[in-house]
Amino acid sequence: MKNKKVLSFLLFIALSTMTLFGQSREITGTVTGADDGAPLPGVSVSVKGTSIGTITDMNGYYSIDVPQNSEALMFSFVGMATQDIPLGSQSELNVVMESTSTELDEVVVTALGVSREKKSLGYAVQEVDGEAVSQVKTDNLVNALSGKIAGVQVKVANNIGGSSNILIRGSSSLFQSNQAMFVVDGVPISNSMTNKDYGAQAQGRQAYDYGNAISDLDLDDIESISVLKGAAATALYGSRAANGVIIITSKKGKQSSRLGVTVNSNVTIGVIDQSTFPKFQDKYGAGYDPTWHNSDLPGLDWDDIDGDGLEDTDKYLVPYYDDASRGGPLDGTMVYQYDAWLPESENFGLATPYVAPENGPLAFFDNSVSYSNSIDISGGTDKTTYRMAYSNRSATGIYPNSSLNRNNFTFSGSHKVLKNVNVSSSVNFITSKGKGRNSTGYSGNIMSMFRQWWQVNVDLEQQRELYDQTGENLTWNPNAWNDPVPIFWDNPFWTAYKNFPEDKRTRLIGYVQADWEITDYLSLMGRVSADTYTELQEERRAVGSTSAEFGTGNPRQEVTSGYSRYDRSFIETNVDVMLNFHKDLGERVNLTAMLGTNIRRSRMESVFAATNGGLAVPELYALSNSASPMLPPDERLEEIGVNGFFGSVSLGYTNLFYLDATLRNDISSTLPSENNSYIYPSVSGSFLFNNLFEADWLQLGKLRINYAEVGNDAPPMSILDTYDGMPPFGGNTLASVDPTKNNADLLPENTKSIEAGLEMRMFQSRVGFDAAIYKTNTINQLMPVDVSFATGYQRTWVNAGEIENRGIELAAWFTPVKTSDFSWDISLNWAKNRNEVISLFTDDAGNEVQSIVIGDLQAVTIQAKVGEPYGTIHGRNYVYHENGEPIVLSSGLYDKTATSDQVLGNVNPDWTGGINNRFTYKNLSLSFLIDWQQGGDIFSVDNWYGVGTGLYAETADNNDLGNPQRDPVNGEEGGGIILPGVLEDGAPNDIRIESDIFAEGWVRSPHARFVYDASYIKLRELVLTYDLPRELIDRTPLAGISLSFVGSNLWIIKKNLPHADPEASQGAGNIQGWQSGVMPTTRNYGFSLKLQF
Amino acid sequence: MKMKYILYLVLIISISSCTDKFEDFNTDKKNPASVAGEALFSNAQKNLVDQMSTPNVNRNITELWAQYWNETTYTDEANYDIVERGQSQEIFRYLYRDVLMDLAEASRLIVEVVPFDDAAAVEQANMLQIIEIMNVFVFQRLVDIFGAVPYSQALDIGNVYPEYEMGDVIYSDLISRLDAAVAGLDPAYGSFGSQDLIYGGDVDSWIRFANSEKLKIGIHLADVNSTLAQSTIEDAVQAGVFTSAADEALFAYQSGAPNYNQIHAELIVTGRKDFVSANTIIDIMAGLNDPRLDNYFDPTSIQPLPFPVDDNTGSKTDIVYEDGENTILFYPLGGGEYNEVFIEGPHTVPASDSTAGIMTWLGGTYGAASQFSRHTQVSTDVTEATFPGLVMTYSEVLFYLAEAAARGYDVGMSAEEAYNAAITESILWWGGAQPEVDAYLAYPGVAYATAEGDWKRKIAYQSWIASYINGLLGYTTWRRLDYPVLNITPTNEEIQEVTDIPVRFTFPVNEQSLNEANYNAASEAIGGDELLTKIFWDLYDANPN
Repeated sequence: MKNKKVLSFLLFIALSTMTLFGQSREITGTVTGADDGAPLPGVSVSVKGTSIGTITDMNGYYSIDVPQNSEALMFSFVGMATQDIPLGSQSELNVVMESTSTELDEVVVTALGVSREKKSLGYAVQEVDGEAVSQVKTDNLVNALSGKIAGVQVKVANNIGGSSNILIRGSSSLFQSNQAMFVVDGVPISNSMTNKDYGAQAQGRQAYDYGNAISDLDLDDIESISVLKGAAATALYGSRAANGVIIITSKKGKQSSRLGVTVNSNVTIGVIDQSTFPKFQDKYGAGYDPTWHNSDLPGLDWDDIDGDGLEDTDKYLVPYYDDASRGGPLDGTMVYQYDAWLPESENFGLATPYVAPENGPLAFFDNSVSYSNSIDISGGTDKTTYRMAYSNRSATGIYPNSSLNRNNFTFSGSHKVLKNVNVSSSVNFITSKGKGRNSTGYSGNIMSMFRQWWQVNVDLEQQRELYDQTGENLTWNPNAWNDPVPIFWDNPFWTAYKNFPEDKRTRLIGYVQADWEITDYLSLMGRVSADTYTELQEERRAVGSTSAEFGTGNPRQEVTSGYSRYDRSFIETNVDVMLNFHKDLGERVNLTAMLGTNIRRSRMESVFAATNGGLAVPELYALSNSASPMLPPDERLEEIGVNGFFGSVSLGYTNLFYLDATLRNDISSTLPSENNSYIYPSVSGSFLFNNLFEADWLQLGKLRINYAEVGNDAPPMSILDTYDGMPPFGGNTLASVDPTKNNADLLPENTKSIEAGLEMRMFQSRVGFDAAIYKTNTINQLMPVDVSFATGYQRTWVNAGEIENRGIELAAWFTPVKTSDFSWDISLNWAKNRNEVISLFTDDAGNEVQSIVIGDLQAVTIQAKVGEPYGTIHGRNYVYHENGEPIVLSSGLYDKTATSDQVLGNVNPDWTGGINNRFTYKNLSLSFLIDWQQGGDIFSVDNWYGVGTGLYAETADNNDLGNPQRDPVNGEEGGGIILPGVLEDGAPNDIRIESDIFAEGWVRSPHARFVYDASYIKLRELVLTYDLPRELIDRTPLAGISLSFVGSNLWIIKKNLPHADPEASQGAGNIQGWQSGVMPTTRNYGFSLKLQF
Repeated sequence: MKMKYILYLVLIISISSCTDKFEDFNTDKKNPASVAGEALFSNAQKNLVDQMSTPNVNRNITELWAQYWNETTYTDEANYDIVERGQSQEIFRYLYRDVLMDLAEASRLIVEVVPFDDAAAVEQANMLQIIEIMNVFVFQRLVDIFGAVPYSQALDIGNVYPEYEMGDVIYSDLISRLDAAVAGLDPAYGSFGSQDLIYGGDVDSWIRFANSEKLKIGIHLADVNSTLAQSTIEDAVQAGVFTSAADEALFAYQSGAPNYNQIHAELIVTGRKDFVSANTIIDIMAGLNDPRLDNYFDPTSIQPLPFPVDDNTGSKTDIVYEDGENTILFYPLGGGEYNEVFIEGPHTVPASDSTAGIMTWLGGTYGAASQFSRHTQVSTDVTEATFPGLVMTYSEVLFYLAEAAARGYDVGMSAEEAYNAAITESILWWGGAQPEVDAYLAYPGVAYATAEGDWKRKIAYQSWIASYINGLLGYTTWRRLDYPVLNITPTNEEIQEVTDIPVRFTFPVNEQSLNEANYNAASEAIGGDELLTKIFWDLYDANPN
């Protein structure tokens, strides 16, 4: 109802705008391209000498009201020759536009928002159209980039509203963020991981993934994305751009005769891809070993139920307290399951058959549903343009009781205040809320319960009913038949409905900018911008839950209930002033120069407070409800100031050579005052060899080369030492020496990079490619290096170490077929990055650190090791025979290395790529993107435990003899398994052992057994769009209607990691290469409707 | 003209962007740049006692290795796997980073304070000596765990590769440091006052503690250097060790988080069911009818004695009862207290004692999974939030004296006297009554004259029982005296990481990469960084039977 009113209001506005131009006549027509005769959408049509204009719709159709005395219509389009067509008396004017050697003049956005002709750039920039990222509605802008840009590696963690990792050309920093920087319309946008204890969360401690802040941006607001990959491209941005920059240009109002109104509506449903969920066995029930229990049947117990001092041998009990499935066979024996002891259960007091349940863990999950709706109103005259938009995205996740909601309000406008002065401004107001995000830690994580510690005999619907009926934590995993208190795991519905986190963020991003065309060769730009938000993350554990690490304190206490809140506010302001000079020096040479300054200030304040020792009153989530006096809250305040001064000079010689040089000086507050100023240069050149000769087939041939350095400062507060206040003991004050030794002699770190590229477009631009080869070395890294605890510290800040990234990138496109009705476009991205840790820390005495632990997980470590790629997975390996096979000991079990510092793999893929095919037939278009990662390794904590606890189907298969492997070993008749490998003499292993917890899983296996190849090939996106034909909408006020089906992650074509998606992780950040309790991937089916007025 | 305005603008911006505030930006406004040394001292004390008392499987697993406790489901630690969780690293982290470093910094800060009068100067000197005594205690602990550790080069961030020193070298230096510390203490003056969370700043107590610590060092040296052991012990006793329970070094935990006992934190607050009693201690104590059994553990079951009922009269008749395995006859005293009765052979309980009952105890088979609800659990006395942290008890000191006397050193009492006093002290400490003590001491399996084996065996068994909750002490007693007979082989040998009970902790895994050369040198010097490499004071193999 409400929507209808809004719609009619908008129609009214649209119609009344049109009637403003009364004294005029209407001219209509269709614009097509000369190459293929296909209609050209988006061509700007204007009445020459006036501000009256419009653009063609998706069918190339336009309609314009021209004043009676108009002379000509002007048709212009990027890549096409602009045409002025004199007006006669005709009312229809069809135009065929010729492509110029068009893409040559393609303009791209470069560092600091400077638009440059792409041909003049000496470095790699790749652009993505806004449409290409907004079609598939994802939670997070980062996800939309996957597979679309060569050299950009995106890793989607799968958490509800969770963070996604984005690396450009590999990891360059040992300890600081390797995530790309985001800039929207010249405003740097925070993409922080806002988790209160990100480090702990990344290493699998009890915590949630609250996402990265870039997910606040609305995809429908994006006009285009430009990715600056190398240091030369980003050097002007300074320190923070060392990992590449993603420059987003938002949609703006355009000069137009009519108000542009666009309404987008999308609904997307996500369904679990079962290949990313455990395939459970259905043959054996609860227990760690069928022989460990004390009835006359394997895996079942007797106990004294009636209290006569004797075991009641007529009642078989399931070992409720074991969170594993290596117990007795699910053969229908009548047993007393956990619910037989719950008066609330329909099975109270009853023995029920011991069988695999009807509803396994999949029954826990819902389908995810998300709605995205946006309305976009824009328009403008020759003096003023404006755009306002509102969008809402609301989603429910696959967890019960999870939801995300976001509202974006945008206004942007520009106005020429004087003939040569333009002011523009933009405001983005965003509210976002999340509820019931999944835990990524090891306690309270329902996924680690299902994947690692589960009884496959448990029926999820029973768990649901018990929770629904009682609201109590009636778990499948009680202490004992007569003690319903959970031993290890809560009822998952209790976890979802009682122990859920909530978060909200309110954010404002905006700028005011003035551009002054001082002369035709000199202009001045001034801009003040800010990005600020406040955020609240609340966590709760209801009274009656199992214990988990919670709240403040170091180490955090394990408690069974509690409430915590984390309040965080952030503001960054930037003042930019740039003086631009552009002049042709004679006929052949032109000069562009720029001088500027950037004043940046940021401030992050947070308070983390929690109840202590549990909640005094159940269900009251307030700090004042602390059972014991609260511990001091954890307060942080980080202020950073950086003053930057920069300049650049660019010389062009008749479209043949371009030479660019930049220089930037930063003064940063985070470095010691004597070392806080640092200067870094870049130089790049390009050579357009296609202009040396005339060749029809070659539209562009460009060689480019560059060298750049970028300096970087330290994280705040790494210079001066402070003490840690501890919770008081009675009336006594306690304090401790901080475990990190700061360093008053820090120097800036430095990235040096060299890059060359070749770019060609041929055959009327139907074939083209852009290839780059680069080498980047980051030296003198600022890092807190671990030291022996015997020094009294855990780590100390040093400048040390070098990481090298070398790589090749290729972006290519090809149009195999192009007719007036049909076209087929292929675009391909491919990149290979070789990463190597060249050196770490060498002390004064010349001792060299060989390896540094980045992530310390329960079982393995992720390290930076000299001579290896950044992010090696370390643990205990097999002991290999000289014939290359793993050695099996006389016990029939694998031998394993004595220490856990063996390199078992590394997280870096061999290469990544994406292929997009797009077919267009008349009004119908179909495109699909295949995303490919080859190589990279992953350690699965899930399988390490889950195979051991006997959850997965393969742990209950038949053995090589065709007998159930879990049957006792009995020569050729029995069960058991033979581990693949050789005996110590090199002969193939022939020792058959019991298939039990010792033969499998974590107890006795080397970690190497659970390291998998993380390769995948995915059908990442599929979009089918139908634009309604003009005839159908002619009589409506609509300018266009399009309908789309959009699918994402529809099919994992190939992967080598069983039961999970190799991409899934605990979240973004430097610690990758392992999985514990990861979420399954959903196949997302969406339907979109786009209306243009 | 225009250029002039531009220059003005640039100038204004440059001025406004001056960097004067930068140092202020980078100053931590939420954490103190200076604190009192006393605050660091208190924190070191708390961290030390937390490390000693925590049963967290990541941090301290000596309650398992002494075979007092067993694990319920995840039995890796009871089976001597310290690779997976890296407990050694945690011990280094606690003791160097959180105890010794805070002590060192406390000392540095206290020295810097200019005393305002002579008394303050003496108090300051006292504080420094007390810190020194704490240092000695911690380093001995480190040596007893690892055999060799970074010592004189430790705690200096200027040297991130501290050399390891051998245990015996460290031990002799610790003796001199103790002597110097005691000599420097003036009991006429105070010290830390209430910031001393163990003795409230009482200097006399610290002197007795230092002498007792010296006794402890001496007794550890007895097998390997009897001459040094004798002189050290006799000196210490001469100077004055603990003479009553009032002298004990206990840490008074508080009831609220996070200042409660770490056992309470791990067993009660977390609600986890990870531990039950080990059959090793249950079987030994039940075999001796030890009155402390129900102070240490809560019995699996408490049931009335099944008096036979006379079919004719319908009333209960006398019962002839013989102690079964791991059962104890008791008479309730009210208030949850019991009088446990030791019997040998058939024993008639008259029907008039109708309240008499039997307690049953079932320890989990050490190293094997043991269902929580079916096995004897840690007592609620021990899991109290305010159960004290045990740094050194009087009973511990008395056992040292018994051992010293048995070795022929002059400690002013006979081995038997000290032995009896130690047991008495322990039973009373745990809430036992004198009649229980008397009965226990009279039992042939306990009485010094009749208990099985040589003095080592007698003292080892009793000392090990009395060391309950002080896991490392119990484990060390077994390593030094080679008794009691522990359960060597877990039921399933496949899960064992080692072939025998470890006699030390391996060095932290991260030392292999962070301090590699010194790690290698130390490993070689001690004879290999193995679980089965003996600490220097450990000469003999444990007795298998």
